[in-house]
Amino acid sequence: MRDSEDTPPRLVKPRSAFARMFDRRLPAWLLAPTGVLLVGLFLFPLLWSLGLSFYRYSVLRARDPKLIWGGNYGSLLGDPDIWTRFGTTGAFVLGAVGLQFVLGFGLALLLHQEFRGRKVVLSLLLAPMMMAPVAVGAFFKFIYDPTFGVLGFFTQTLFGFEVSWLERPFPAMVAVILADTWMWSPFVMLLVLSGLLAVPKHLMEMAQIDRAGRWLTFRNVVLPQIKPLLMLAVLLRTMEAFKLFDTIWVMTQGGPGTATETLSVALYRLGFQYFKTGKASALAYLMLIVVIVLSNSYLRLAMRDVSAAHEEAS
Amino acid sequence: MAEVHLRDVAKAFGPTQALDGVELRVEDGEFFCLLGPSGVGKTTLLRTIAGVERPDRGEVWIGGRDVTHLPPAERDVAMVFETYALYPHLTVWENLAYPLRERRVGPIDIKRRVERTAELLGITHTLGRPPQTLSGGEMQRVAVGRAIVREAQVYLFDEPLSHLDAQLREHMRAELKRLHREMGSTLIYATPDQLEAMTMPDRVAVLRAGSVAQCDPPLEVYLRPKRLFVARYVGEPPMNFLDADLDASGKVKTAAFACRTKARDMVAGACLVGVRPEDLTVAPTGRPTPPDAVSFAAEVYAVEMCGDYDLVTLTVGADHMTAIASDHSTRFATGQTVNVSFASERLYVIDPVTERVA
Amino acid sequence: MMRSIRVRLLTALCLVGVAVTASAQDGVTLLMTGPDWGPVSLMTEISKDFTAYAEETLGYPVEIQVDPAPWGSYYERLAAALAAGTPTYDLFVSDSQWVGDFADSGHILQLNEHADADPELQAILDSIHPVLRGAYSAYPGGTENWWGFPQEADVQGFIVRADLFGHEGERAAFEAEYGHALPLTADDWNSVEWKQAQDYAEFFTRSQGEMLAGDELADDFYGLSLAYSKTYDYGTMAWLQLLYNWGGAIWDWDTRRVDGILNSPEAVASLEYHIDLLKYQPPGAANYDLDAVNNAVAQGLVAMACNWIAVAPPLFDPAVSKVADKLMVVVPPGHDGKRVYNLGGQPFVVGSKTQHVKEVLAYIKWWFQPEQQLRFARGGGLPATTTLIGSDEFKALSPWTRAFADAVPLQQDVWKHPAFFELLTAQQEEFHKAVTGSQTAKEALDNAARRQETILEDWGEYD
Repeated sequence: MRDSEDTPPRLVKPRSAFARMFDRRLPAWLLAPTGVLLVGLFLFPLLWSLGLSFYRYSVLRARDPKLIWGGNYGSLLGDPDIWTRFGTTGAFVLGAVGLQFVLGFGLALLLHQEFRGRKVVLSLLLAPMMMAPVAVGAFFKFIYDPTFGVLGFFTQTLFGFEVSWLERPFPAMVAVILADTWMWSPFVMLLVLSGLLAVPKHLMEMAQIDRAGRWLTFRNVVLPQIKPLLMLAVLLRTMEAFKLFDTIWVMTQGGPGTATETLSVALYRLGFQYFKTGKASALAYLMLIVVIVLSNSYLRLAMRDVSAAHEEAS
Repeated sequence: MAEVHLRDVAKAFGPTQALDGVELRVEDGEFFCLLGPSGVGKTTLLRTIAGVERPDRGEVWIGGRDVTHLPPAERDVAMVFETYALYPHLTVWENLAYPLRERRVGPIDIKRRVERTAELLGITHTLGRPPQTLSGGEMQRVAVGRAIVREAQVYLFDEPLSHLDAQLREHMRAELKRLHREMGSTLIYATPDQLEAMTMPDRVAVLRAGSVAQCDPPLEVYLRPKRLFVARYVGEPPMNFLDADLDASGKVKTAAFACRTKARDMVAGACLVGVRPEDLTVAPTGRPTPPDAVSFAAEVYAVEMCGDYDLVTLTVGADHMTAIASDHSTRFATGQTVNVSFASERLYVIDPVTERVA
Repeated sequence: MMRSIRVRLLTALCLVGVAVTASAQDGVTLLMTGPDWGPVSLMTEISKDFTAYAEETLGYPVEIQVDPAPWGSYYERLAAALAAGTPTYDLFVSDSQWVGDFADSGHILQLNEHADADPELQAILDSIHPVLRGAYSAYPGGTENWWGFPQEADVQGFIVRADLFGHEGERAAFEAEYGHALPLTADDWNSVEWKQAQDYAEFFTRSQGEMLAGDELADDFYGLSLAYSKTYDYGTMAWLQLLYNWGGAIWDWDTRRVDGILNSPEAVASLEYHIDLLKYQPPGAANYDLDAVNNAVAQGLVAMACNWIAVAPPLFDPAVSKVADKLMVVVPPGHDGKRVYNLGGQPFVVGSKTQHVKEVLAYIKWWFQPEQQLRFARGGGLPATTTLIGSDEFKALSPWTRAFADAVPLQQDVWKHPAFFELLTAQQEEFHKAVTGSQTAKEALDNAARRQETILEDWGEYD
């Protein structure tokens, strides 16, 4: 019980006008550093590069920027090579994300079981994810090396033939996809595993009592629970794979020929080899648009179930 | 034939002994209640019967069949989980129909049964909705519905009414009782609520620390608790206990009163006596007491009005006792000295070492 | 108490400030960058002595500080630094093809004014071998606009296994089979043509278990190794060696037209021949870069290899090369009586933002003193002055100097166009597709010619 009349008035110094004003503006002051960082490191470069994409401009060369509006976009979209790069990137993304999805999922199901040494296996599996992509690229380049590579040695010993992985277009794409898959399947696994761990035990038991088979239990109990995380894994991996540069650059430099020349490689060439800064900005924006469209359709797909459920309810 | 028979069932989770040699025989068609505070092993016991938990030791028999090593699907049991366990992505209708589908019931039959069940439980309006849009009480009813929608040899209910409000709970108690009578199947019902345990079942097993303390019809448990634990746990408000001395002739003596009891087979010496609040009669001093009653004076410590009765807390020597005063014409005031009396046969004498009730 | 500490701190700060200013007046540090490899670290090492020399001649010490970057990403690093304007390099090594880009972009200092004003500097320019001066100092090619000085001159050499070519049994077997003799001396190699070299390559390509120079082979052995890699300019540069000898050219040097030149029948024939040579090379050769070629030699995997002489010195180091004592470096083969070699090497140029022109010029004059040039050559560097290259002392200096001296007069340079990297990428991509079998040599060169003309057109070359 608080009896305010009994307590003596508190001794508070009358506060200065400044202090009161400071108090009122404190939230603004506290937010300011974040705001400055956000604008300075994120918003400003974004808008600046958007602006650049409308100019013919090279950061390396002395000529003045020339406003050409959609000229960069036009020449990019009219360039059959860029469309080929889109195709190559799409093939890589589909292959890599698909494989990572399957493997990550499988690994998660395996690691969801209890067995001896599970924690050790789990931490070992997470190791590739912690590595620098450049290191992974270099590492796989050696694995695929026809003279010194481990893979060639194994296929030679076991099957009596070697695949020249990085010398033919299709195997090279497979090789790059495998490297990325090696690195990122554990990521998908981690997300799926956390989903699996979140499946309520009672639901699984309920399904047992209901006589649901393994597949039906999986479809009706497990899948709905892990679906949002699966979608998230696919979304994140798609965005990342779309941008992948380091591993490819180190392993193949986009070769053989242009078989693994993805958009990021093309962007790197435009920006840092040809120093066509304006055009590179335009390509970066085209990629951004594609990523946004992709991720939005993913999100829509992911939200569909929820909203459908709500519609039914109302 | 679906009696459930547990033989020396034990189950430990790490250092915790959840079930410690449970012996239980539930007759076919019986409404059987497991009563006990939380953590006493009720849920584990139900789960062991359902088969989602394997006992470390002992056997589970259902309908004359040893099912100890059978998976849940082969035991023909239906269970209501305290956590509802509804499939979140299916509508209520689908949730109810699911157990039937898995048993290849025809669609017309499914429709009939789902609708009947929903009607019975008052959840018809929720049928088209996903579970996460329901209130706790609705979800619990759907969970019950999932169990009773199909025919099973044994129904296992784990605190199925815990999330309902008082009114609905009362209604559901009656409904479940009636439902059981209609179905005629064995029903094992776990609850910490003694009102449920007293009103619904044919028999109730009071559990204590993973074993059965007493297994009797509800009234028997109430009137003749066999253990201190049961005496203490069953009854609302709880029984009063006082330290006492027992002599060889069966006479007990407390700080406030002395009386003769039938506790002859007990060792003389220090003991505990108990008397239920509803067996105590409180009257202003000077009123005559029944001739065969034990009576003593006490001071009123507090009075709580509980509607149809007053709960009177009394100071008796160094202890407190509670009594129920249901005579509304008499009001008691704090500090007032009153006369307390009870019939001597309503006194329980408890051996403090064996905790047995005489 | 507090005050006295504060006073002391302030005094200390002032003293440090004074010391810093004083040292800045006392000496100058020239910041330089270059690729992280032998010739640059050698120059760094030798240039330490410049500090004392500067103190004598200028009156204060000048330190040369070199900040190298790996070859594979050197262009990107350098160009990014130039674009950003920081750090400000007083001097930097530029691959010869980049000079045009950097000159047009205003990142490097034109030296004519200084050469005109300073006879000593002009004398240095005159002392450089005319072919190399044209390649490293002049832009546009053929003019007398001077932009830099040779840092590491470089040509392609043929690194061959002297032990195998000199093995009596092998010599007899070869002559019996092919009807001509294996070359033995550097002079012999000066007249070898690809037709014969191909015979050597075929002859020495052997499988595991066969005999080679009297020993049973534990691994497969190959006749030849060339760079075909898509990285940077590796594949293209190795092929240009053949293109020129087949009578082809990369473009028309006057009209700058590519179509009809780069994809001429001679050019197509040379590329087909070049790709056909893969059959004498180790598996994975289509991706061999300079290191991989060197590695194949060092591991004793091949009988002949073509590589830049600048990267050859480590092959003669027993610590890294299994065949250090069995190699000789000779000139690459010619074709149909023609001998033209593809020029490599790098000039060093003066950053246009330098504040130390005087010191930079003093350094250049010091570096081109015969004494320094000889030290550079002795350490494994490839010099550019006519007298040094022509001297017998130089030719006998190292296993590779003779071939270098013989090849220098026959060099041909590649584009120095500002669009160099785009032209190169078009070339490399199409070339590598042909090498890895996704298109024919003809298609590759047609596509490359078409793409390069688009690039040049975009650059306004045909306006």
